[in-house]
Amino acid sequence: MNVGDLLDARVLGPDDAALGVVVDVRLALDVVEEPDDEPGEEEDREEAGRDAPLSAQARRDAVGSARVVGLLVGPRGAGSFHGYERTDVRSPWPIPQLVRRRHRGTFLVRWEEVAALEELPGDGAWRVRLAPGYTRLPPELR
Amino acid sequence: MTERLVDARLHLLGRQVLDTDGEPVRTVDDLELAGPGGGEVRAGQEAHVAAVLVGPVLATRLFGGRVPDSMLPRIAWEDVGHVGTAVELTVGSDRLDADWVEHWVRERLIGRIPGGRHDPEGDG
Repeated sequence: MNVGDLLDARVLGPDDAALGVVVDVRLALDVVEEPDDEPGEEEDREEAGRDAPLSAQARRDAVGSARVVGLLVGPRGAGSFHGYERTDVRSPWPIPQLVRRRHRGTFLVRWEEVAALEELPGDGAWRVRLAPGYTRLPPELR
Repeated sequence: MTERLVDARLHLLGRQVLDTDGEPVRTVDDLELAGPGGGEVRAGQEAHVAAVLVGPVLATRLFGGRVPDSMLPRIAWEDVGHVGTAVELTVGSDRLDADWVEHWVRERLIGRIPGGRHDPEGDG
């Protein structure tokens, strides 16, 4: 199974109620401590300040395995999130406000609370069914 | 060991894949998931990313349908070293099947043109 199969798959509650579609798959990457990491790297990144290219300030981690944590389920599927609904960024006004309004009701459900993954006959689309008593967690990235 | 949370679509899909020398390989088109012990994914049971899939998905994105998994070149997740704005591998692109078209063209076509094996950067 691929992540692409899960994306945009329809999500049903335990009582067959339609909850929306899978808008993203949340993963936990194991961050490996690198012994040869320059100790000042974090500080350099901060000192680089405004003039440095964005790529110099961006986070870059040595990673181990990547585990599936859960699914982000949105009541309205179409349209990009631009990442806004998962952080507390508020500018440039009014873009984040509009994007959040469109995607309000999006929640994170833990992978353990997924009861079934069903491949629909025909076009190869998938359907996700949640377990009874699933919890709607906030979608923000911590 | 610490963990970093990322969203697949937001942070990984469509990102550039770089080999160990920083040379661009392909972009991340999909991620293959595997269940416990590398088996099939089962709902609710531990699942992890087994491979980065790179391949000809542009046509299916435009016109619908899907590419069979067997046609998607895969890069094992164990070969991924760093994740930042790009996905950086710990192996060189020569060792990857993902670039076989490029290698084939280099060896069979370009290499046969007189001077085609000359490395301009190798002259110093």
